[in-house]
Amino acid sequence: MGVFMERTLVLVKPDGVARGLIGEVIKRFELSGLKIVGMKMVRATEDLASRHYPSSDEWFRKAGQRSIETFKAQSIDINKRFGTTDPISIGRIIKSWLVKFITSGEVVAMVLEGNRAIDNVRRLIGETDPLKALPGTIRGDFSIDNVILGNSLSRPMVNVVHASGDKKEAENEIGTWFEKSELYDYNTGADDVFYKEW
Amino acid sequence: MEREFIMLKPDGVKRRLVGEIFGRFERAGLNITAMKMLQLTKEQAASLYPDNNEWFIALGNKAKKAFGEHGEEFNVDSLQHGKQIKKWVVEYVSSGPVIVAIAEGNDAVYFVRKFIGSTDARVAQPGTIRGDFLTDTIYTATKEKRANRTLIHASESRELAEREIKLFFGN
Repeated sequence: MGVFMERTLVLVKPDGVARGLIGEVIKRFELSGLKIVGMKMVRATEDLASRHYPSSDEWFRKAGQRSIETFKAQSIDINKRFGTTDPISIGRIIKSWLVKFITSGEVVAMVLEGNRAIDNVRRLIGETDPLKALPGTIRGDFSIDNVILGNSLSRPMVNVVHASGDKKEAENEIGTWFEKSELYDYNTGADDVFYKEW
Repeated sequence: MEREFIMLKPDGVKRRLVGEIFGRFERAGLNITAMKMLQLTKEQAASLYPDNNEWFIALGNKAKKAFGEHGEEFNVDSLQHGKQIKKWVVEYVSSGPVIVAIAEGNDAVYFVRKFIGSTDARVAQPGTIRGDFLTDTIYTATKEKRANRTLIHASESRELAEREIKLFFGN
């Protein structure tokens, strides 16, 4: 069988909750055939939020590098904005913004299950930067933010949702947000459509 | 400002109507201020419904009326059959995960119930949740010895809403 049954974590972030987009976002995942196996609205503590985002130099460097490149492409002086040109230091600042933002209001955390759930969810939500996200994707349809605007206001991009990037991240993030007892196994008619042998 | 307790039942979750239904409340301007997927125990399920003879008899009579509309006679004791229906309902709402939630806003109890529509899918207006997403009937459900599927539960009054919110969210 070619089924790669996976589970992935999705967050409707405080901007999505405040804008009344919870139902709209969930609807898109449900209509794709993915199944919600766990869901709750939570106000994340700072501790939970900083465990959610990685704390490795590798991650800081990548996040910092991304901003450096974006600023360079727009000919904006990154030193002026961050007070440093070191990618790792910039990455740390970005993480502090992410933590501050995700703890600023309620989020809806959910675990979605299905064939290649991780990649399918990322396809449905679109590019991280809403300016680059295609219409028809969640970020393409529901946000007009971009990196430069976010950084200039000392906040991360408001891009409605977060989703795990790969299998390892999915496992870690599901463990960070959910107890095993909060996840449910149940069958639906749509499961047969996708997974039953013909 | 008022709070209303909502529970999306197992058929709503299995039919992947979570987003569609919560989206309708949000679109109308209500805020979802709490939300959680959980599996109800039989006791939790039973605590959502009344436990008095008056209510049982009314349920039993409704079933009889539904049979009457089909030109059939349903020869049961209304009280006993009402108790049986409650058992079926408990079975139904504990048959899979549900989503409990709080919707907050002006006259939330009234508006949530208006958006949901009548429990009887045959008279629920198009444009309401039950009118748009249900075709189950008391007659058929009774014939199949199960509860009438209604997709969603919402508290009948402000007092009941606060009681049910306490039951599932503490306060």
